[in-house]
Amino acid sequence: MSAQGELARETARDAVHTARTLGAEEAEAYASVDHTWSARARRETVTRIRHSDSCGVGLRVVSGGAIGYAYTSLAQPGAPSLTLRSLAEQALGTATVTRPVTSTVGGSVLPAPDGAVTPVPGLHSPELARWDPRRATATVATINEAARSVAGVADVPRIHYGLEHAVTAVANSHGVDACSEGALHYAWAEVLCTGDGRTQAGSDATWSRELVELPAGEVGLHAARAALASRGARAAPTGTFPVVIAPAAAVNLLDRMELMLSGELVRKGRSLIAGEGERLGSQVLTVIDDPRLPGGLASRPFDAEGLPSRTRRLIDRGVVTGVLYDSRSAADAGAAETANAVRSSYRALPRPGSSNLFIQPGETSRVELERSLGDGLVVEEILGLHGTNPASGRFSVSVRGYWVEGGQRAWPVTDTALAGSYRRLWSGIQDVGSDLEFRPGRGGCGSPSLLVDALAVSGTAGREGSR
Amino acid sequence: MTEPRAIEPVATGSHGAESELVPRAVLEQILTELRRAGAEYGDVFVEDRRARSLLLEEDSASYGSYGSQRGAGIRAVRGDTSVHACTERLSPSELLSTARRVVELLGTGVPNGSDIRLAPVTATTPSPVRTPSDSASWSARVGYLERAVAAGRAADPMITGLTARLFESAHDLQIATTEGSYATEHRSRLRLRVQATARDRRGRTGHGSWAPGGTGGLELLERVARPEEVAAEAARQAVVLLDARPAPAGERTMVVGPGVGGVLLHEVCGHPLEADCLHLPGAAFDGMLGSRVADDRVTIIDDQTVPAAWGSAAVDDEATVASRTVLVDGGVLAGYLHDRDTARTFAGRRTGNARRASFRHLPVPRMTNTFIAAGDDDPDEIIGETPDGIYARSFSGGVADPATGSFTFTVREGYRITNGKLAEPLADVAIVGNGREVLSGVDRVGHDLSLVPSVCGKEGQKAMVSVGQPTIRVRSVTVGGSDVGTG
Repeated sequence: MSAQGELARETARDAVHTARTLGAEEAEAYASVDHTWSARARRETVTRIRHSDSCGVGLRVVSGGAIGYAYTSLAQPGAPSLTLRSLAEQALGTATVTRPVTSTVGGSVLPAPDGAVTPVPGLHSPELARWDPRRATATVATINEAARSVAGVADVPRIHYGLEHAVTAVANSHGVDACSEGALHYAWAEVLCTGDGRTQAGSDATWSRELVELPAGEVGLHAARAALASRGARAAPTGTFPVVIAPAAAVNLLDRMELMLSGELVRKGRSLIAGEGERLGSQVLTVIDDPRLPGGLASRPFDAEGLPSRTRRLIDRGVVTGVLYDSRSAADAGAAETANAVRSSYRALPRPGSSNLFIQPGETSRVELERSLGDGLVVEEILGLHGTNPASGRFSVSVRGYWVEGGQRAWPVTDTALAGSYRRLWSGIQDVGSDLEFRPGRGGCGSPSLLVDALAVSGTAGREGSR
Repeated sequence: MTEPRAIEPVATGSHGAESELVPRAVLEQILTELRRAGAEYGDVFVEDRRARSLLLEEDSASYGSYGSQRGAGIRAVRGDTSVHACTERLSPSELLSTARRVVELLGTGVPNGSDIRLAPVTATTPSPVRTPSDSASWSARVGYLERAVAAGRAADPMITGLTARLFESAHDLQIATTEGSYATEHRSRLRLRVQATARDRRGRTGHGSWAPGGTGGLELLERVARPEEVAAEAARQAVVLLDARPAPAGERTMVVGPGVGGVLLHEVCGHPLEADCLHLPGAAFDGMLGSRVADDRVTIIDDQTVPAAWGSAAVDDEATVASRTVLVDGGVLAGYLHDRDTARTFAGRRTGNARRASFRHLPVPRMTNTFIAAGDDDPDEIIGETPDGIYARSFSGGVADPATGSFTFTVREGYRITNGKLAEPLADVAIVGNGREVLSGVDRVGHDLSLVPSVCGKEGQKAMVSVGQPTIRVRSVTVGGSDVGTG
């Protein structure tokens, strides 16, 4: 553990102790120290460099059986006792007006330690945490050169390179006391090409938790090829067709599944999932949440309440076998806790969420899946899912990808909408590809390609302006 | 039934000089260092923010939260490159060491100019605070939420669940630039959200949500965010949506209701007019100043000075005095939204639209309170003159390309219009199209302008903005694919 890790841990312990001294029945502190660096470039010119050091602590207390919460940014990880005292007073102050919690576990509101926290390998390389701006400049130059070496590329308007280093410590008055550290760096590029009067964009990204040279050249080449491949894109035919959803698009669907699997929304009837035992998808759909993947994007040794993380099968051959709980939602539902608490930062209370939620891959290659489409649509990109209501489960999104005829790619597709319901989508999965991919973003979801038997496709031909 | 309220004028107070988080002399010293190291421009943004939220959920939990954050962001610019670093340590030595880190990353340049002397910017707050957030007790807040829950419960016997949540923030800012501008501002915001769930005898459920608010203090709870009215509106939506269904696909005339309907305009026309989007491929409005983009009934305005509105402030986050910018004037494209950087790049005028989510972020051009100005048409007549179409009262969200304005939007609460009358309720209706087409298709503009709060995301930064418009009609939009599913 680095010196900052130790300081974060001490801050969390001190905050818990202070709250208890001031009369809290139970207390939990979540301290974090984050360093982020990022560079943005247009072609070879770095236009924006950002450096942010952020440090803070969130304190949850139980007083008179009610929960109170307060957070504060800290000038440094080792917080002065005056700051912690005022933090505890604020948290206790909010508890005085909130209602006592009705569901407890053995009389406790906050969770007790549940086994030992064991490290997940591959999350932290101390060398990586040290930023070198020359690394950013070199990465940007490599991406730009690789993309511009491809004939037909018009511009490389956006290149991003960044590094994130995070220390998290959780302690509570029942003995939870956990601390971890992780770092990763990433690169992303957008490349443009022009043709038939329209500009087409392609993008690609890469990331690593190791201090290795990122495959920057490949990012540039892949983004350029994606842009070129969408030249001449037009609308798909309108009708009901089989669809292959590529990993980059499928992870967007999984991101919505996270909400539907939230034990809190399930209990409140705000998810289309009613509970465990329910059939949600076809026989080939198995969904796993695995925070213990070595070096994984969203991997973590413990959850946001400090409980040891665990691998869970949430959907097994189409049947819901588990939902996501933090300790409060588990207690409300009368269920055993599952260590799925997540927090967006020290400023937020825990909520149920996923970490490395993915669809278990099958054996079929992407090429075979596309061949089995006959006439149908390959969806590479989905736009517009955020408006989806997790309770109704209906969606209508615009998509980009390829139209396939007789099992062969016929033309690139844009200006096309895909509509349906999640229930229809999950139960219509006929086959699952072998090409599991995790993509950066919320929760770090992963998916292989999915073959869905029939979805409503509507080309909005004649519309201009998409790219 | 609660309508979003029309903007009402409020007397402006004087722009308060808050206690200095960082002494002005220290800011001058930092800015002078930035210039000596060769920065063409630099600024310091110091922020102290307190946030409170209180949640009351009927028959379940209630939570309160208090948070405080304090820090400074330091930026230096040379040519096309900006470097920004932030710190939560506000001591003079820590601030100077952060400034040196910025300078180091920018690289050495020709020393630039003499010592900086700051002069205060004169600006008037559009949002005087009557009852400061920091002075109110938690129990007073609980009272407001209990009023909301009771009113929601009384609104309809089919209401089965209610959640009321109050958000407040209070910011004290210091903004100092190498141009010698110095501004301090206190910004307070409040928003009340009520979510309601209705369930009918057939077991169908509907969800409603309403969240008005503004800049100011707790007095907003007796004005734009009265608990009873907020709850009644959330309950009304929940009951209506019990029976709503998707619409069949095809080309339709669409009437968009006032207030919340403005989120479509925000996404498909507002973002493409933010000048940093003019760089992007396929930029919809690049090089079109002076061109006709809409019917002469259409005037679009961004105005950070609207009294007590959610996106209002006295100065922007580069200490430029807040202003009113006409974007579309009688159908003709008249302006873009600029910060310092884009005004320089595009030889435009700074419009006071530089905004940052916090001291941790670089400013970018953002909308503030952006709306279609009130027209002359009567809202009921607009519907009456539409033989067949859809009425979109609110959208549950959508995605738009910020450059081209191509979008997919979902109508959250809508109605079929049959023979000039509102007919069966619709929900989850997807609209696909392009911002310029929508704008040029507007053929009616009502007189019922209202603004509502929204939280806009761009480049990972949140901005508090108002969206708004009167009732408008769009000649034709594409309603996306129909639902083939059974779920």
